[in-house]
Amino acid sequence: MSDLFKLLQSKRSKAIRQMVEKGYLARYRVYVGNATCEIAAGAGEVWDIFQEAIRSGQLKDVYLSAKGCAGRCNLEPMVEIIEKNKMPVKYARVTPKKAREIIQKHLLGGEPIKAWTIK
Amino acid sequence: MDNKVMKQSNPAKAVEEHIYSISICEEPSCLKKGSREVRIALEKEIEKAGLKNKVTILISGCLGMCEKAPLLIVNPGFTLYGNVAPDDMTELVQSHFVKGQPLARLVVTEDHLFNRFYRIYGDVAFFGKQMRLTLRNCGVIDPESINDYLAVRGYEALVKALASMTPTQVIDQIKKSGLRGRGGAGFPTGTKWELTAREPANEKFVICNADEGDPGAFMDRSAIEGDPHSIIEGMIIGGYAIGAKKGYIYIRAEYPLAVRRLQIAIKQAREHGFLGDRILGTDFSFDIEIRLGAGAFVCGEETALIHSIEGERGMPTIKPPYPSQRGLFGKPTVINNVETWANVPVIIVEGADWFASLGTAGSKGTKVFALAGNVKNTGLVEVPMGTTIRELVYDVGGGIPNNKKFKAAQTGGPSGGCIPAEFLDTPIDYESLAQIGSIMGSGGLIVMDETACMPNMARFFLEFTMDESCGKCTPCREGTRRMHEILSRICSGQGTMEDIAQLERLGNMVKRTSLCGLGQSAPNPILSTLKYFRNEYVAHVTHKTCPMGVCNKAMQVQPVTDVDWSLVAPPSVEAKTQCLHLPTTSSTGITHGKEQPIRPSVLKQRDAEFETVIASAAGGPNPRNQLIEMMHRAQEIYGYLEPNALRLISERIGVSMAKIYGVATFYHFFSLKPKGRFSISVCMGTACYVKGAPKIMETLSNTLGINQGETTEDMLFTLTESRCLGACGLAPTMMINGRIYGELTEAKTIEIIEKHRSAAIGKGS
Repeated sequence: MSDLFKLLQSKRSKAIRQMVEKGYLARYRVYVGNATCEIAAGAGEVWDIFQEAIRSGQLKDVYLSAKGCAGRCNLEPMVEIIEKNKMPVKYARVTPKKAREIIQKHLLGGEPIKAWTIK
Repeated sequence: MDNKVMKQSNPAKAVEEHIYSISICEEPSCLKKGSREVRIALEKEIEKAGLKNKVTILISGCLGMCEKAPLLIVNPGFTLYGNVAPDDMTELVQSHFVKGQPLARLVVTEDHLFNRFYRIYGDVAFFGKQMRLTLRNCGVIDPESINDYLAVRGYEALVKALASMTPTQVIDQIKKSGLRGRGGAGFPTGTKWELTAREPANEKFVICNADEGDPGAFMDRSAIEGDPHSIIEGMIIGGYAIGAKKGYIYIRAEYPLAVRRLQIAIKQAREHGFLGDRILGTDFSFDIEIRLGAGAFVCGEETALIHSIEGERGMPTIKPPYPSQRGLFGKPTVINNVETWANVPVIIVEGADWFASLGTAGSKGTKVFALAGNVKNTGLVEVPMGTTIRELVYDVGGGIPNNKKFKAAQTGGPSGGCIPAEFLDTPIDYESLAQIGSIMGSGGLIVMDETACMPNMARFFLEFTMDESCGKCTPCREGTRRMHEILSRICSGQGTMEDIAQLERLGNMVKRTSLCGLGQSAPNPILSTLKYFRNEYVAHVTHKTCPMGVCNKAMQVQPVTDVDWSLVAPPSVEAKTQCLHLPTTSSTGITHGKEQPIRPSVLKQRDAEFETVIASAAGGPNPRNQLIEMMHRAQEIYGYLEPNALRLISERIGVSMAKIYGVATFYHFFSLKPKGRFSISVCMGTACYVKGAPKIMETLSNTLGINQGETTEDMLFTLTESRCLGACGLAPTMMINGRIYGELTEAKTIEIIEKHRSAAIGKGS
């Protein structure tokens, strides 16, 4: 029955390969919460700002992904940015305006905006 | 162990299989012990081994294990290395990343599915005491991508069960783990499975109960929205264990996003061969169908839920026979809650012994709570059983805002009780909570500060259970109503001491004599507040005042007398207990006979659309049990239960109109009247209530000039209340046409309404 394990392993390898092809290993990984609470708090608009920045070519080497509820309801919408060799950053209560500034200062300028992060 | 075999079966390929991430703590205590030097050495070794593109280094916040500093965590696999030195890095990189074998001599723990430190960085106050087992992937992976799930060892439990375990062995593991039902009652899951597996029958079913009806609870919604595959995987394993080929997920219609995520996940699982005929080429076949609930709290009760799936009014029936003997369509059925199912893959992969090592003597594993009300960090949390309420409220929840004092915590929603400050150190497990007059429940936990009025909270819950009582047994139907009357009297300053005594007697009687859990637990909010906050009741009666100032307004303007029923009985109770007969022509607009008025073309278009929907249902194997599904579709297409659509359903699937109306009036979600263009639903869940939902309702009612349940004359707005929208962190909330608006104030509410109004007028309609 080890065939089944092999089958799963090949599925898993393929899944990871596809994630890498989608740019998982980019310099920045940006996660935007995308469950009911997050959307109610305005995560959809925030997502659109990041997506548009990638689509227009303003952002390069950035992997954008949705995620479910992390449990921090009163801080939604949250945006997480994971950068190689850096402490990951979680922004709380992001608005479209804040998202544009995060793109400018953090993703393009390399400087996290400390005042908006969760300590 | 087979999962170990799997991990090591191809070590040379390990690097290609995984993208590793290493988290290293650089907080002061780790830095002091040389964590920066370790990181620099690690970076060098990774570069030397040519793994720069495969291994990411993350700098983390404190991991809470300073005695083992410096610490490294390698994911996937959650391998925790402690007391590492720069000199160890050559060996570690070679062993772990080149050969794919963790370096045993430095490993502290490894190989747990769960994410103890939630991505291993930051926010330690909130995540530190948590243990995210069923929520292991929530907020971590993309819930709409099966690739993300596979990458975090998704479907490994299923493969392990199918490849190396017999159904009996699976059941034994679940039994040994000590897992108990997370829906509230806490029945041992393994025993339930065993009883069902033992029944001789040609067909069996598994059901996932996602009818999360408690106001103030959103655990199941979040779990499904964040990680739908783990619930599906749990159900497939359950099906394999008991010999079922079919599973149903019964989920609230109020959760459209969760439903969509499940649909996507089921489709992906089918494409990958995890669901459907001959799963992964084995002899085992299993598939899952989604059934929508329609807004009836009692359907969380298992027999009621089963009747609802069958297309009936969701009323409980006497047990025995238990669902394990005669459940869905008369066949043996296992019915478990969302969280219970999400635990199953963890137990199978990690083993029953490991799971049983978590928690207390009688309650194993973890429990998810929806933390809401007067607490700083509202949110979804998961803690090991045995964590105290104090830790939950003050450490995870961050305490009470505005420097107020803690007054009580309410667990278990309308079925639970209020826990006063003196029991803050009670460990959370099934028995301890029952001992102090509350219940574990499904996981709602509402914190109340010193300004809360307890008789008023009890009244709030009784209003809920009174409305949701299905009306089948007298003690519950009449008892909840009488108790609500007495509470209303007390809250309006008209109660007597005899009322308090009567309340206690009635409560105990209803508890003893009701058929199902709803009635048996409905008096809990009264009995527990009477026990711990009796002086507040007495103050209302003897001084005719509310010590908290909550009820004062009611005392001035709302005299409630014994006979004034209009103030205490919401119309839906009437509908539910009396509306079994066919409504008259005038009230529904239904026309009998062949004389049909000319239908406008808009309606004709909808008719055509509905025709195709119903044709596919009528052609299916059991059209009659599709009744509620068809009504959902009719309401989707027409905006309400249009009379002609109902007649079509009646003709095509062979159900009488009387039955259809019986079902329609049972469920809150269905409307027999046309709705306005914007359907406003104000959340009246506990969290929203505590944070001022009644005021929002009042504001809306004044702004729109209509009462709850009515539609404005211009057909723009319909105002209704919802039991709970499940967005408690943003309380108070309302939903307009599927979109939720949170953190409402009076001004914000008016602004939102005006925006909608001008948008509609702007479009020229």
